[in-house]
Amino acid sequence: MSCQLQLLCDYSLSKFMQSSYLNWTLIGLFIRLLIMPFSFHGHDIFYLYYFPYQFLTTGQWNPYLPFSEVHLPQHTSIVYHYPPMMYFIFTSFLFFIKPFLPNLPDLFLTFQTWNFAQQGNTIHFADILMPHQLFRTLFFFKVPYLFFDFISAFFLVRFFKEDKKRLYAYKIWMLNPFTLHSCYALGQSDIIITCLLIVSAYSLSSAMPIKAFLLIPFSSLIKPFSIVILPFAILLQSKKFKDLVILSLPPLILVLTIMLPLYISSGNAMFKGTLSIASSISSYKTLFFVISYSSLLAIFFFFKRNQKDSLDFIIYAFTLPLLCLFTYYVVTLRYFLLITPFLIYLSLSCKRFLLYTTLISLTLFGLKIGGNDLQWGLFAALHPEWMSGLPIFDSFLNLILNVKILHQILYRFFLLVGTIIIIEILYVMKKKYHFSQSLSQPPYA
Amino acid sequence: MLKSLFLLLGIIFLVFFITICPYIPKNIYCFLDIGTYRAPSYFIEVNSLQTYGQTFVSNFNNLFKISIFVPPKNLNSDVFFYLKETPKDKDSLFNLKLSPKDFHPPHYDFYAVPADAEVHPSGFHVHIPFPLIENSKGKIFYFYLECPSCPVGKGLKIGIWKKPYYEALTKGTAFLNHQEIKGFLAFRTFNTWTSPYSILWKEIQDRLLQDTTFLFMYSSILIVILISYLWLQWTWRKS
Repeated sequence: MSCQLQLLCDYSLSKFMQSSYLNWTLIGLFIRLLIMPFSFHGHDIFYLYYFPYQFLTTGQWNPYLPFSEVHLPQHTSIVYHYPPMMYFIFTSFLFFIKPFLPNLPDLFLTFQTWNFAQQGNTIHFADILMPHQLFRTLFFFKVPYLFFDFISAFFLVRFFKEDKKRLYAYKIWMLNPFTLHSCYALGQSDIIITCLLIVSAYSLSSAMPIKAFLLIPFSSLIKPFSIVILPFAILLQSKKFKDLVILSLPPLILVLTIMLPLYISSGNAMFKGTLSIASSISSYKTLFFVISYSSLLAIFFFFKRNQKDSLDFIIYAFTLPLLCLFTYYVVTLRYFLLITPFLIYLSLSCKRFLLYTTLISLTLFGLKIGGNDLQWGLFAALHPEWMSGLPIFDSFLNLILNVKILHQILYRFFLLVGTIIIIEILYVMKKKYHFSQSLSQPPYA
Repeated sequence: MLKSLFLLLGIIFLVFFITICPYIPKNIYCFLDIGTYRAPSYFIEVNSLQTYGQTFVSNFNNLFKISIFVPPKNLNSDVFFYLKETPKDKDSLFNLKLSPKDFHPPHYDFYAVPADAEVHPSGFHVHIPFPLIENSKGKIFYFYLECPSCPVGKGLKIGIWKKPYYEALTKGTAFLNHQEIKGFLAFRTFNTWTSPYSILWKEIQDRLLQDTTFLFMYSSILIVILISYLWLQWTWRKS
């Protein structure tokens, strides 16, 4: 605690820097607030809060048991499709924001009928939920994200020693299109995991490994993707085989403590719910990811681990598995948010990475914003028909090009840039941390 | 360097828009109301003995297009498309003769976005535009396909969902020879926006004013942030 306070207090900045930070905070906050009440995607944000609402109103603590309230003709067993901590965290959010939302019961009643009986897109929810204080609901549903967003910015800035770079990082974060799109426009919760990952990277660099080894598994209990970092982080911190075992214990205890009661109560339904996010990925992609991830882990295993507190090395340990995951396995815009703070760090440390990051980000946006419901359609709350009817850039491109082929080219380019970044990181590691020397000496001899 | 890059990009965009200008339709608005994004697992055949159709309720006004999922290269004869208000109606709202040439993936189509969802290894969506139906919101419609000259086994194959797979479809079912059957065809409906901008602004205003308490609180927060920013700029310049 005292360490955290010290962190906050030792921030001696010039007046110019202080006003710059304040300026950019206001700009960032203004953009976020502008988006918050008018934008959402499909059922996403309502789904995230619907089950916690059931917890608060009916007292159902286990989300993997069928919800008695939603027994509709077509779906007799609706269960939760996220890991358990998502449920509990959103329940705590809802506990605080519920008093500001008096129409929530009506909103969820309408949502329940549409979502579980006939489904619906953004345009339909914007139309049917309007009489139930839609703007207010969207605004308050996204308020907790602001907290995690600014905490992330605070720790991201702490990664840098130079004031100039700190300010650059802060500016980029305030205008980060991934945060604005994933978190405030779509209404997804990935900023919470991003925040926990930044704090864990910072904890590792500040010689507080136990905190990191609790935060990483905790974040994977919100969405499972961040678990890929854990083996890298443990390898990074362990000098002997004994360390590997000891450092694996806190995450294991945490996961068991949270998941065991739910497993005893609901059995396999918990695993189905927890792992459903990655269920639609093809086996070809899965195999490719497993091979590349294992290879990276093996390379990492043979590195010298005397650099365990080096921030660069920690950032590489976080970037490599995440980049491997989001390049070869799950290619989506919103999950890419998890990796952006680390890419910002790399970009400000080396100009080549700035070029790669710009290229990979632009390609991903070109590739994955292919539908109106991910562009203007996100603002369907303002006017469902008009906002959803506005043409997107692809509509114009489609007049002279085959957009599908263009997307295929973009996907291949995205894979190429992702692979180049991975190779570049490995090359920098080899150069900086004497990779070849350590290969000749077994790490746990 | 950066300035010339932006200038180059600007010129490219200008040339691009001048090139495509003649191809841009008069009405640029189009949105997907109901429809199946996923490719269907089953296909049924429209031939001289079987007519397949579907009822649906439009969720929005200005219905102007329907698309139907068909497998690639599956037709040699002409097909007739009919749109009615109910299956029992004698007169159709619209009918169209579709030749085998009309069955192609919707490439270079302004409205066929997202393009990736339109074409699938197992088939593609054939777009059938018709004159705008203005007050279509909440109304039931029935469309069907006929192929009187198609022998059995050589007719038009169209995608169907045998199990209920709804996507914003409140009411509706598939029809075989104008008789209700289980399942529904793999189809999409498209609507557009035609009202003047004054109505658009009024409708947005109405939506904003539905919750005045929130609007007041929200705009106050934005104004406070804006004033703080301007004040900060002013003091900074002064010092």
